[in-house]
Amino acid sequence: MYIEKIQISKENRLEGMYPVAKLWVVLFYFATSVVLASMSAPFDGYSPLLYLWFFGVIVLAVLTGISKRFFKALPTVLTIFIIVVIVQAFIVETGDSLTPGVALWRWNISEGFHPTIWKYGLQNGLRLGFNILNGASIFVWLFQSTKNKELSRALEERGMNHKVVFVFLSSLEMIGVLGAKSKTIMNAQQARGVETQGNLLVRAKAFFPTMVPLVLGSITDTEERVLTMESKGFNAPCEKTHLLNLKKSGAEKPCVAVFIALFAIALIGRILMWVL
Amino acid sequence: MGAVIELKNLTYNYPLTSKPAIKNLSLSIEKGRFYGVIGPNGAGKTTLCALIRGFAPGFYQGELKGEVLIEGRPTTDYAEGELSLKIGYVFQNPFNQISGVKDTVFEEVAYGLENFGVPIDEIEERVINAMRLTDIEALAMNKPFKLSGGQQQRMALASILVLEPDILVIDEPTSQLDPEGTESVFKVIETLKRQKRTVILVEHKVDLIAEYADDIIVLNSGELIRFGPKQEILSDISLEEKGVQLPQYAVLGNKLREAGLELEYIPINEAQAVEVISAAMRKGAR
Repeated sequence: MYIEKIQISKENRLEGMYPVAKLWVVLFYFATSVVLASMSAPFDGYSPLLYLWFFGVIVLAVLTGISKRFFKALPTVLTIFIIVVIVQAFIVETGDSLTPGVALWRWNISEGFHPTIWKYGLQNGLRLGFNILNGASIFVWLFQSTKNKELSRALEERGMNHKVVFVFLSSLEMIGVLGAKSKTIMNAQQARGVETQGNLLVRAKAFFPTMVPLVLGSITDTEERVLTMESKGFNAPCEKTHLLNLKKSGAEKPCVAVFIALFAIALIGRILMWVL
Repeated sequence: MGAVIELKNLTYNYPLTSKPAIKNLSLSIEKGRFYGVIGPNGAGKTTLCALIRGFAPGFYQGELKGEVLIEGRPTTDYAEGELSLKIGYVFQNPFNQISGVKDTVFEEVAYGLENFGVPIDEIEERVINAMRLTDIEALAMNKPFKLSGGQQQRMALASILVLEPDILVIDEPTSQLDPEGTESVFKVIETLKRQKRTVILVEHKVDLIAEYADDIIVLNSGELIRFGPKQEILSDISLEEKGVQLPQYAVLGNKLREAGLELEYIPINEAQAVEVISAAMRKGAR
């Protein structure tokens, strides 16, 4: 009765793909991204194919039926992307000291202070930013379409040591737990008069009173956790039973094949560009 | 009944310490009895539990003199994981006893059985029984981290009981719980007592120990200062001088005796207090 309830069933065949197949999709998506990033010569140093490739993960998320969750998780990645592009565009003037930088736009605020967007910096920032965006977004797709326990079960099925899988899974699960714990500590510190809300400086001041108990508490809790695992026979030298059974949705082979094909096309295109 | 645990001349030092946490301790634990372990902070209660379970010196390292025998075999002779099936161990902090890798209470309770390779058909039945025993079946599909402290501690108990250990060591299971959580945990402990399980319970709430234990182990500064039936130990007011807390009924009984009330014996729980005080008052009224 309960064992049936804990099984994972997904209607969408892409979402229900076997986690290892999803890992192959991640790998080939990212590899394609790297190849496309290097295809900038015919486009005056820009990498438009790389920028367009970002829509690949969006299409994938929509087809997987997780667009709502995907877009909800995306702003953090987009923030990093924007920061990278802005910093690079304004700071990196040129690739080497011999070539003068090309200014795309300059704002003359006062003498000696005129923020400039440099062409090389913008190209570099976009390339770096889209690589980060593509890499992070495909992982967002993976983790929004796959439960942690599915992924760890699949890795164990593929022969990964159960101790390594435990570390991987408990680390993922602990992110949320530590987040909740830090909120509790912040509330407690607030009650003691430590200001935790406000501008950046106030928050920076609250960082240590919050982080120190969180980190030290986590370290001391480890001992009890280890002994608990020992009490539950974690190290018992026998074949483990698994309550969770993973099933294949049937979309694994076609989906991975599409991404391998796209990678191959990108790679051939890159080689041709190099040869010709 | 025969001894299931024997501690012979135990002296134990944690690593890098010169003062032993347990000094020359000998003890025999019998099958099917309920033992309460009491003593002031730093008396060595948790160390005693760790020695029985083999965590010391196994996990903590340190230096051990003497022997801990479980069913006649030294703990050091047991294979990895074997002791988990013999002795169940429940810790103080319910939060730390959650594996962190399971989504539901059902899976969390079943985790130990999965580790021991128990067949799936058997797992479901055993987990349901353990959840019923600890009154958490209604929470089976809930997330472990979302439970209250009392519910988490009952889940921790279920996770251990599901392994059907012969002996249960419970180290201050209610120290971090509110009164409601404490009551719910002690309901489970009461059931364990009714089932005649071998239980070693460390607990600061001596009134609860007085209610459930058969025998009391009193530790102070790593030494065994008293060991015997609860009535005899918990009514001994001289233990208070050694920093050992006694049940409030025993303290009251002793004070009433000092004040001149002739009590037949020193009560250690509510029922005894009502009986003995009312008898003394009836006697006085005549």
